[in-house]
Amino acid sequence: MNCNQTREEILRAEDIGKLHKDVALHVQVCQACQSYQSTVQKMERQIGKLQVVEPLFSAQARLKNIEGRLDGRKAFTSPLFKFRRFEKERGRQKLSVAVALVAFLFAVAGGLMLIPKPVDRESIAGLRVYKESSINRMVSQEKKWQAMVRLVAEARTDAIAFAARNDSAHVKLLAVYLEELLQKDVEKLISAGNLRNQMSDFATELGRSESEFQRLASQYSSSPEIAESLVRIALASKDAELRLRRALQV
Amino acid sequence: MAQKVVKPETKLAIFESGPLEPNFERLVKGDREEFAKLVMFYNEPLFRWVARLTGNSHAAEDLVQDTFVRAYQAITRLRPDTNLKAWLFRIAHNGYANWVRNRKGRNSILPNEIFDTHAGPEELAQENETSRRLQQAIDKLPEEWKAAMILRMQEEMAFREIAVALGTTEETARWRVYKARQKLMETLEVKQEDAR
Repeated sequence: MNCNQTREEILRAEDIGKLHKDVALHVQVCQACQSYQSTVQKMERQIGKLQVVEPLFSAQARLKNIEGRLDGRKAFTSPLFKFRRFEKERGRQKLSVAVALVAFLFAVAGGLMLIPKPVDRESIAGLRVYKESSINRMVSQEKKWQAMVRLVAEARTDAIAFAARNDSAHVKLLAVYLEELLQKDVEKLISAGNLRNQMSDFATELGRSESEFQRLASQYSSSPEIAESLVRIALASKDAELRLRRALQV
Repeated sequence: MAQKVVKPETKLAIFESGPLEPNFERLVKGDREEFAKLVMFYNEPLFRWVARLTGNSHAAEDLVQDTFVRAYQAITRLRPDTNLKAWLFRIAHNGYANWVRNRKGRNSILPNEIFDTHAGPEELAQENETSRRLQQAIDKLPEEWKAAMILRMQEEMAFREIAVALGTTEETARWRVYKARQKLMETLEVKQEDAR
């Protein structure tokens, strides 16, 4: 493969960092093509970084407008108002304005009611919504397990970060959340299907988590509230690990 | 024993994460809450792309709004294997094509309008020259090449997804990105030589 062919292939590649074997071999030994590849990569990075102004509407405001338009359209096409009874153009115009006004008010009110509140992750109820939407949107059992592992890892990382910030309220909230996740939700997944590999890896991970949180709790002996929550997480991890191992033996 | 140290400023995974992706099954049933998630999730990427294509933030706003309205009207007809992102970009692209047809013959807008002017003077001085040159070169590209190239470089879409978004084949999508890269490289190389 010569330099021209190599450069053509570089420009054709989907990902310039991951070239076809033959092309990569040439690039490895040819300094000019190496430099060409890095120039193209640099140019792509710059294009990716070119700034665009922020949208004029926030996502929330956009949603409100869209809901308004969708509901507005329904109101205008309602078979209730067909204007047949009105002979005179003027009467029709007046009614059109009145209907449009009422429809607009309904649309705005409807739009306001339909805007979903952002998921409140500061309460156990909010965290439940977050958890449900993360697990339930997965179709396969395998993906559900992956979502569960990710949720547990996220919550553990956050709990450690909050402990470092001495934020006992959040650590406690996460302890309650993790207990629920590791008891109720893990149980649900175990009964839904026996995915041995995932279960075994997760059990090992939980074993490590238990000792990590026990050790962490001893570090926070001066903050009893934090220490207590950390111990709760450790115990919940241990309990979930044992249940997983039991299920694996069956 | 080595302890895992977590700095207090560590980013929080749950509490600081972005909008949630919509659930496809509920979305195709016309669920308004899932549709709201769809708007939250794709509002920014769609705006970024359309703003780059039109070079006009007001037009981009209208086009993005129309895209979501059209998407909602067609959402119950989606097939289970539909790539949601590519499908949305395709609706936006159809809207953009109409916009281009309608504005033929009118005065063109200022492409620089789409640049964020909030950056500080030093940053602007350092980066603006390269960005301006690049933007000028991009503006001169044929629309179809530009659309494909931005989807690849900005939204990091695969050629397969770009093909769906632009209503073409994977091979054509690849060819458009290739031509755009080639043209940009030629333009930039010529300018570098001129500068020497």
